Amino acid sequence: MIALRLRSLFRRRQVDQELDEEIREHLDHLTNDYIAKGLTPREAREAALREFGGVERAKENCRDARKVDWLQNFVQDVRFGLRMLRKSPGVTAVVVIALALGVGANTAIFSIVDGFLLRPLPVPSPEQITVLAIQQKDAPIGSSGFSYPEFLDYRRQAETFSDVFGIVISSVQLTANDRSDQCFVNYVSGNFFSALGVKPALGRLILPSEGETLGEPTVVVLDYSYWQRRFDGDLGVIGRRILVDDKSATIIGVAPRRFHGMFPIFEMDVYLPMSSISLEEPAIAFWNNRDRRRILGFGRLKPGVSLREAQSSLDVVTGRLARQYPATDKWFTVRAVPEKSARPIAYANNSFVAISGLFLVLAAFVLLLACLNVENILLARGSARQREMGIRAALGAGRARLIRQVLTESVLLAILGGAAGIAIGVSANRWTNAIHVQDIPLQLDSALDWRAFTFALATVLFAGIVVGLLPAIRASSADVNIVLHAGTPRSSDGIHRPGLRNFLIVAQVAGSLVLLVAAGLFVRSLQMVQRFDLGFDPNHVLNVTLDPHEIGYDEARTNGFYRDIETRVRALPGVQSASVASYVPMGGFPSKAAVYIEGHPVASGEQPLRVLFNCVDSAYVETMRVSLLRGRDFTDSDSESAPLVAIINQTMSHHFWPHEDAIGKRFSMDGPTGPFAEVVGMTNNGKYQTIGEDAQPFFYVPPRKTSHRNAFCTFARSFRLN
Amino acid sequence: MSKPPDLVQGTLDLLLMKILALEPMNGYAISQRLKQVSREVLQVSDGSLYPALHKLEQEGWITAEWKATENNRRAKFYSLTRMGRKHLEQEAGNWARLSTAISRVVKLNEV
Repeated sequence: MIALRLRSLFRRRQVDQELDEEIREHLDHLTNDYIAKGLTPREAREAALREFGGVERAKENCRDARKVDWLQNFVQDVRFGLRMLRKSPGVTAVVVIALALGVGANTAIFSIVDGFLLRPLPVPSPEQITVLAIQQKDAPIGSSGFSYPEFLDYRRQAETFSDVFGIVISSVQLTANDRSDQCFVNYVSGNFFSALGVKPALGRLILPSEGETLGEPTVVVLDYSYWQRRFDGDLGVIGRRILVDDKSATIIGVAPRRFHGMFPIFEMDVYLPMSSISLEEPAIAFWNNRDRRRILGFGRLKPGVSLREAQSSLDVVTGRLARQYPATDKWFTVRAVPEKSARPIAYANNSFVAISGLFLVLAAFVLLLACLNVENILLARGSARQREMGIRAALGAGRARLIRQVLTESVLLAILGGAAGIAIGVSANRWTNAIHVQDIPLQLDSALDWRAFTFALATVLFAGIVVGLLPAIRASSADVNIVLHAGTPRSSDGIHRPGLRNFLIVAQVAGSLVLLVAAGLFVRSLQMVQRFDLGFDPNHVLNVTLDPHEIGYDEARTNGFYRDIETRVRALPGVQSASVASYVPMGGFPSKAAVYIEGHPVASGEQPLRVLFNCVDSAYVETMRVSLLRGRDFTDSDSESAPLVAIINQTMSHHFWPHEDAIGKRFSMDGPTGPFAEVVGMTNNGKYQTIGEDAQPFFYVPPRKTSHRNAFCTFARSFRLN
Repeated sequence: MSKPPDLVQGTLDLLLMKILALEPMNGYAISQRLKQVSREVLQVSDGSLYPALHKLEQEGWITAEWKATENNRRAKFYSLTRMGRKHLEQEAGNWARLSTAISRVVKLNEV
């Protein structure tokens, strides 16, 4: 059965030939019969033809019998369906809008999730790329990096990786076309682009031979969208000399369009070779110090290597290094995590996947409600059309035929709704892509790629068929006699009990309630987050981050510069107080120092806890309205006088001096032997990096009089005005 | 002989299926058998035979196979499928009921 239909579609000529042969045979038989009866061959032939009837007409009828079932029926159904939709524009509009919203929501959210989680890196064999997540014992994942010598060791010794490459994320000042702006930069190891297998959009990329020797000329690779924004897509940028952090550099190429570095949601503007890190900090320290951990490590697995093999080879190297360098490398483990599982960052309890799942479920819920709504409408329409169905059945339409016709209408509605929905989804994505939170380098490249489109198409067809099936079956099961003899269409409603429709309405109301509650909870959460206790008062505070070091000021000149600015700002009308600090709370890359408590030497085999801190001047507590619970604030004399002082927060006090008064106790940031700073004050707990962080110890020190390495932070000094 | 009675479309299917139920045969043989068994009352033009056969094949009630015949030529032989057999039973039953009902009405004596 199916064979003949399919064959008649695809091998029509062969079927026609067979028919010809069959009829010819038949005619020959008849002719022979007549010859046997005594006619001449020619007379026999004529008699045979007469007996057969019209040969051509027979062939034509055969062809019709084959064709009618397939294409013609389908075209008929579609035409009729469209006519029916036009006849009831109100119903059509409601159904299309409901489906459009459902499909649109799903498409938009799936595109975003796709862009974050599902879309692979735009490089060849992206499944081989792994994140080397280095972790200090007891410290949270993502808080550590590799040091350069350590990175080299892993690169040389990890056998299961065809390449190990690393990046350092930072910011630089780029001067070109008489304009300077702050850029986010990836300092990359020489093999970064070659390991990833990326091809340049313009010019060339950083080669494995460059990037890791001191004293090399600084070469710059631009990110594609940065090139469009900043240089207007000028093809002549290659070879142009620009200034990076006031040093001369040459643009050598542009990265390809869809490539956004290792973190798809972060916007990186330029790529510089790792050797150019000397712009920010003393190169010797970076290259040689095993304690200077800034590199984020990645690797490309050799083909055919499993994750477990890779992990064991890493463990071997880790063990070897721990024995060779017990002072610096002992407490670190390196985990190989597939790049896809490490989005946005390789956190152990990555809640991102759970959140994405939640949103997808919510979107599916919206579609479900839309389908329930449409189902109800179609069922209502179905019972109104029972008369029509009865007539069709009486005219000879089989049940399958009726079902097919009603289903075609439903699928047409679904396609219309789906097309509108996809349009809604695309414009929603365009809107979310355009969200540019100031100063935060987030970018959402959630274009509608084939994955999202297939998803949208699948939801549309699913909606159309699932929603349309029940009304179709209902409509086609009308008993012809009852329907045709009923007085009015309405009276035949009694055939189908209203139970199902009531159920659908109840389900819709319940579902909508759930969504409303969920939406309400989201809004509440947002409101509560805005009212969080940050430990300081961010209202009416302006801040400016400057880095005079980037344009060549030395330490003394920098300090003079800040003192000057502070005085001038304080004199401005409307300014209540002003202060200087080394980093903006929740806004930057805070510094950490190992804390050594006086009188409590660190046990052997243990590492001192590294604690966040901020260098602030005496006006900080007042300007930021940090609540000082005990003790005193810094004074101006603290910056210059010999005794070092510090202000700690409650968590730090409880952690290091659990049942004692911390005021008067001393600790050091530099080593077990000092120099020690005395605790003079205690503040409340606050948030220092993210809103969702747990309470952590924190302390403040006055600027300058600490021997900690200034090179640690990116020389950002911020003002607080009020 | 008076004009041969018109055949309703559905009954031609019934006849063809019944003939094939007894043994598979090709188009020519079917038409001959039909004329023979019905004693020449039923005259199906061979031209309307083939469309009917094709339709039956599409519905899946008969199936066709090319076989070699005696004089080394090939012919298309039709046979009834299992589904066709079921359908035949159904239709034959309907026909029996219908014809019985009609006969009863026709045989009513005028009062």
